[in-house]
Amino acid sequence: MFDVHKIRADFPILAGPDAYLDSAATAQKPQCVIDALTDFYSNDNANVYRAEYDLARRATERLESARQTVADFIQAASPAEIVFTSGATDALNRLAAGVSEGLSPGDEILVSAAEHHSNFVPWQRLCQQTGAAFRIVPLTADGGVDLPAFETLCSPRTKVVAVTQVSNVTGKENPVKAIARIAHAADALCVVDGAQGIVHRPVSVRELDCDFYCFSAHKLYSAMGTGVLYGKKARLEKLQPALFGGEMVDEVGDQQTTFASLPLRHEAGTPNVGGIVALERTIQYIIECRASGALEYEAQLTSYAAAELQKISGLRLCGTGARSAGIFSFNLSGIHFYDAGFFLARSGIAVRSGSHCAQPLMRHFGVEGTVRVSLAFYNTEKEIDRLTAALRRLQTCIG
Amino acid sequence: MISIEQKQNEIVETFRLLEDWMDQYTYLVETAQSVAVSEAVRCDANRIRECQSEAWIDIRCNDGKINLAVDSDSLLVKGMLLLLVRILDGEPLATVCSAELDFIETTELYQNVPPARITGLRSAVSKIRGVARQAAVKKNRNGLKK
Repeated sequence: MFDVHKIRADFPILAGPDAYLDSAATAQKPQCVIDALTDFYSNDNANVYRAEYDLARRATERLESARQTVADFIQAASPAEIVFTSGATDALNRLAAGVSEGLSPGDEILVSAAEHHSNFVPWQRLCQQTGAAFRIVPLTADGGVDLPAFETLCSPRTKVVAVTQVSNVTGKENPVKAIARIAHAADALCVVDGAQGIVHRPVSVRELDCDFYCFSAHKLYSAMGTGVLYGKKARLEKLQPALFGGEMVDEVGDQQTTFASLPLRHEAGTPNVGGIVALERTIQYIIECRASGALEYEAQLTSYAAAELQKISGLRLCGTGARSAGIFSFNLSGIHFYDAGFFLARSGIAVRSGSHCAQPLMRHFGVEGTVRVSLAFYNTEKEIDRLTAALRRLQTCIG
Repeated sequence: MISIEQKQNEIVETFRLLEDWMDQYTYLVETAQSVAVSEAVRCDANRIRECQSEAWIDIRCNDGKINLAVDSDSLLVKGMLLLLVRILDGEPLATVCSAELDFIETTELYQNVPPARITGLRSAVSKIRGVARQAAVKKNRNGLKK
């Protein structure tokens, strides 16, 4: 049985007075993850690979153990398909750089209008550099990928399709499995931004059948500065390394260099071993939480928040209907989102206001920005009540 | 006519009397709501770039004095800009150039608004001073010619 009060006690920062409703920006960290980070630097810190002493061997073992844990968590075929990065943004930029050699004018890249800038701008830049066409997949009124329109756009010219699994603005889930199938029928690569998706649902890359999937550890209750790029083995082998130096090389000649095998060839420099070790502990923690009903609790809390927000007159939600993550973006009639965000901040409620790194999606909804509330399994109905009470006070103040 | 210093002191005193952040917030909102602004103010040339939300300031120099009009989608930003208008509007160019504007730091406003808004307010002040300085130089040149 899921006990939110017991869960909250795992997160030291939640002992403070504020209601933290900004987990889509970064989630708070449980004590066991903070301890794992400290423990690594206290007991196992050494640089990984190519050293014979015990400490380095332990650090390497811990890194490789984490790689296996991540592979199992997302059901990758092998740990060789897991590349550690500094985050989802880093992963997506490396992907865009890594596929550039195969692109030429006449080719196309399809990106949805619902993307976070990190899954939009790298592809836009890549098209500018290679002469490939940058095509934006239209959205439904709700802000999801318009599947029939996508299918029409997808053609033999399409080389890459990049979509988010769950929107960081609306919490809506895209039909990624269908998108991957359509992309593959056109012989295109399917890249999935899982930064929000992996936080709120079990992910099987095998089932999604995407070619690449990436996420950031910090949104998944782990440390900042760590991320994961999953790629099908054959795809990762074909992908050009975007960063060079360190453990990723095999032989460095005066004129030519050969690269290490997977996954190290995509991991230049010293990895964030502490963060990676902490991610392994986080995954163990999340598995425990999910086994006790965290996902069901989140779904229930999301429904409660949706119902309570809809009771507020003059509140316009971006993307209505069912959502698979507790992420709500809205505006209050006659109130600028920054004024609302500031009012909530001073009322002890942490939310985000702005365009949420998704300006194309803001244009789709015809707004300049929104207030965004995002929930995690440590939030409570009481915090939602605090939010809605503050929004009503704000309306009285400005109305 | 009351001096810039007196006008600033009045604002500081008003904010001191407002007991908490919510009263101050309401005061700025009501200040913003009480002033209707011509749509013409919202043009690209008047945009305050450093402000986090859309904000505009129209600066004109007439008969050696400065005339200001401001607007913003954010009532909080508009309210703060209107405090600036209250202090500087109608003042002689030379006074605007040399005035010590410390109402931002000396009111509780400084603690109670996000830093980006303060940056926007400061940017508006330097924009006003820049225009006033240019106009003052032009006026002096014209005076010498005559």
